[in-house]
Amino acid sequence: MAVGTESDEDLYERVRAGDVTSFDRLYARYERNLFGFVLAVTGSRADAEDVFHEAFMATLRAEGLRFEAGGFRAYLYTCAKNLARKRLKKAARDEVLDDEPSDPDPRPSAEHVLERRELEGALEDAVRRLSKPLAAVYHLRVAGLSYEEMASLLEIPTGTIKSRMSQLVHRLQRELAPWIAP
Amino acid sequence: MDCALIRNELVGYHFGTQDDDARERVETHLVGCTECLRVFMRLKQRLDRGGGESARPSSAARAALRRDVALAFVKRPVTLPFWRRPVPLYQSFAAAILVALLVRVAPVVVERAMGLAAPKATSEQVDTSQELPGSLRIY
Repeated sequence: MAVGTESDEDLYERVRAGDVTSFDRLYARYERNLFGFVLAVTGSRADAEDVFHEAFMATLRAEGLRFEAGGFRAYLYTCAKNLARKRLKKAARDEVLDDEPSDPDPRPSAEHVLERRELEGALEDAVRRLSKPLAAVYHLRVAGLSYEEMASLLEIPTGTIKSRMSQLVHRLQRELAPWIAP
Repeated sequence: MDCALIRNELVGYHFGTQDDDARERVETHLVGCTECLRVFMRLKQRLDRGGGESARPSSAARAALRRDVALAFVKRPVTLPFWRRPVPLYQSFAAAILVALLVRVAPVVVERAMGLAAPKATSEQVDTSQELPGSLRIY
């Protein structure tokens, strides 16, 4: 999926054979996007770290898996989503991934804008303010998942994914406008 | 086309949410406008990195996961007690040579040891019945 010549599936096999440096490379590919996705689903950094850990270990430990191209990523994200939902159910917070995204904090304050002049800081703030469904879609899209893969993973129609992507783009465009406008 | 309009479409262009016409419009503009292209590349770089530094696990979480992966998959050599470890060939040869030497040398050593341990005669017995050489005759 990402940088490097080896596929995720090759690295997965090497990790299972005991090569920890292959794990480091695999981790580097997923640490942002998978963690961002899990964080978007759980809404808690501590929960997200636990789910991230459990999802990685469960995927690596699963016996008898022979991944096709792209199979590792799909399995890992599915694992992470299931674990995150399980955790949410346990905590009685299963309102995640509802169809209508909320709009928690639409605009940054002027002071905050002055503090975070850089585009990267602005993007980080904008992503942090996204609603859970939009943040989930954002991280999945950045990870390279197609609309169909996202729809399958989140168990929602492809049309809903397109709608959320459109909302996401408008939101980010609006938030980042001060840094990209001529 | 106006740069302001194109800049307003860059995020959508990056995420592929535009229709074909809009996409072509942006691409045509980016080819001819280095400033917009520079802004787009900068934006793309940031967007591809995800939600910034906060959207990644802590270093402690990373270390814990790495440790668990190592424990689960790195094969460690099994340490047997010394009496169950296989003996190398050279050690077997050395032991065989030592045993052979002991078998050959031990009786000699024991014999000598016993000879040394036997009580010594305190005075030599002189056979007076035999005639002594002339030079030693006592007159």
